Amino acid sequence: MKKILEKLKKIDRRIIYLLVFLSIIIPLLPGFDFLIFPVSPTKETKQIFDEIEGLNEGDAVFIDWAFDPSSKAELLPMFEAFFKHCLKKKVKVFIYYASINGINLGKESVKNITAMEEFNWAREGIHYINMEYVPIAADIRIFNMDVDFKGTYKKEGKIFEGVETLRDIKYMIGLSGSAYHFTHVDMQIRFNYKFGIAVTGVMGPDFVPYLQTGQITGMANGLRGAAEYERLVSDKYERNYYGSATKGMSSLTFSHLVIFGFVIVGNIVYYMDKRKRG
Amino acid sequence: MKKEIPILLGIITGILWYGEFFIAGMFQENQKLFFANGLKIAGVVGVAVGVYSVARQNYYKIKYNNERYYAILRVAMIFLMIFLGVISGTSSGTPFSSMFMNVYVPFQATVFSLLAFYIASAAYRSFKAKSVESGVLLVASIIVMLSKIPLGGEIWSQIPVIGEWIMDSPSSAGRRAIIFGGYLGSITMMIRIFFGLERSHLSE
Amino acid sequence: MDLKAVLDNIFLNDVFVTWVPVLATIMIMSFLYRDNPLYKIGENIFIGVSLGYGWILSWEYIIDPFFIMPVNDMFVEFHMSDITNILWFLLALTMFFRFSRKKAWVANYYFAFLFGYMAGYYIPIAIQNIMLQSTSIMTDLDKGSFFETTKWIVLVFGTFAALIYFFFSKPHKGLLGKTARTGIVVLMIFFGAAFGSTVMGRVSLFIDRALLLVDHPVQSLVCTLAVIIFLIIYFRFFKKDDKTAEEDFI
Repeated sequence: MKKILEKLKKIDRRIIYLLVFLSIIIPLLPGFDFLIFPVSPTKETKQIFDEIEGLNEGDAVFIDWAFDPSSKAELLPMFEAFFKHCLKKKVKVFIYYASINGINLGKESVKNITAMEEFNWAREGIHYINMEYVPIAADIRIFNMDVDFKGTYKKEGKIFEGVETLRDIKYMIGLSGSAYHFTHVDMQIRFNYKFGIAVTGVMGPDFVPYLQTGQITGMANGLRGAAEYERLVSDKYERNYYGSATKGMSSLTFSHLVIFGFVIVGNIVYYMDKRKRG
Repeated sequence: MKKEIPILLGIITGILWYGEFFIAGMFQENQKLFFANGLKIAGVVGVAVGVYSVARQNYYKIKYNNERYYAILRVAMIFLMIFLGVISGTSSGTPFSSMFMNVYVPFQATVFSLLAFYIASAAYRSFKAKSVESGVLLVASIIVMLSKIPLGGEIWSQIPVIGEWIMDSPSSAGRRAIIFGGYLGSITMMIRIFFGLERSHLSE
Repeated sequence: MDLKAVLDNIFLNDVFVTWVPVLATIMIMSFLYRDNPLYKIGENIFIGVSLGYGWILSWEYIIDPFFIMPVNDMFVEFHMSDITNILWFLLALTMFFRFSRKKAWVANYYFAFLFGYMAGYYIPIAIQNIMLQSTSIMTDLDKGSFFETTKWIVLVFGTFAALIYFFFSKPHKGLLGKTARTGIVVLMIFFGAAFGSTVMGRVSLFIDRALLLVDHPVQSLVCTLAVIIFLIIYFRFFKKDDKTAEEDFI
């Protein structure tokens, strides 16, 4: 008993790593599909979905892409589900990259989606547009709400018809893994735009009070939020829009169970050790 | 000249933007763009500053440091990317974009994914109920984790509801207190800058 | 064959597209075993590629449209409004003085301006936010169900208690002390919830990588084997001396 306790206390970190690795990779192997449980959408994610559902054809949506490949795992699935939903609703999509390291990632995924048979009617400059990067801070961009929208971004296209200023945007969504979007949230009271966010798991609880005050309309939190969104879109349009987020849910479950195991064993070891010392 | 005029400049800018909040149409539209243009141009200089500091650092590393082969590799990669960008452009489907998608993305994503292993190790080693407070922390985090995984709702249908309750009320209350503290702190700081009392952003 | 076609052949063929991401992933993951040259090579390739990528894109999206093109236009036809751009440029150029020790004060002009602007716009907005955060909880007590009402009660008293905890002007004794203690509990619940979400976030970062490895099974197996063989050889023959016990139990 004493020996086991001693061993558990000084367990090699690499054993922990190996267990986590296996718990993530095994559910993804072929033949383990039965481990996928359905996710039930939370009210925050549903809020984003309902906002887009409420738009008419030709309304404008602004995507503020503020993440780089480091948080691609959590936010890219959400972007894909959201973009597909927008194309399904035939709303105009403006994609602005607030992070210079995200531009190529965004363009590649937009290209992959519009290459799909279902969405190959979508044309850049008419149905969606990559607005690339402009070196101005978020606050300045929002203060410029009433000035020429095209001029701020130096872009041209048929898509700008009817969208003169930022105020003509019906819904704005920010995807970020950092504190970047707090500026948008702070200024929402003053300019009254509709703003939703998709954030990484780490940032989720930080934004909850703003949801309650109505400064944010809808939040998708991490991979789970993306999986919920994929399910919402798939259920609504009765087609398979499930992507990597739903695939990852089984791994998420099992790795969490393993981490619970670590917490429990860690606490047992701690208490036994404490009792032994008196 | 060294500090007084900059502080005066700061105060004047501060007052102008403070007034903008209360006086509608204080800045004409093109005057607002004036600030945006300023930041765009500052971005140009920012890039130059970045390039200069990277060049300086790597020069000294290659010249004096004993890990110079890594520095040479780094500089070679910089030149490779610049070469590819100049030759083929940056749009998707070019070698430049391929380098980004197949080298940059996996490296950066993997570096950050190592955190998954570290957090598991941290959960084992330091996540212990040593006192009432840390016990509360432990219980709250386990309930939230359970409510996040799809299995939680399968075990007991009330787990997501309890998780939502925690997120919406006590957790949100704690966050609100931090938000208040943050805003009050930044207001104090901003007022100090506004009146020229805070000088830590200025150098001698 | 011209240079462009050669480059396309190298960087766009299937071998590059499927093997390199897998190899990169496993190279970095070898750090979990121990710090080793493969990880260091990967790290430096990453830094180099990211800097080169950033500079090229900065040229394309910042320097070219906001510096080269306006300057070109200026030589073609000069407008009075260009003077403001020149002034802005000169002001921004003072940033370089931060590198010097004696003349660092020149940069003060730019930073004073920037901070003055921030202070001016932020004060009213912060006050507005405080007002909104506090007024949004002043709502009707009857929320429809007991469950929703408890949410509201905990929210109001929890926020108050947690704020009392940050109130240091009086010693935390008696009622004040008890409230402050409740405040700690509320804050702990917030940190617990944050930790719970963080675990989800961190784990999903690796799920993304695992999906890549599972999608390319052959490449993953071969690269893993190669990396393991390298690690064995390296630690057996080249760096066997400084194996400290401490390092393995972090």
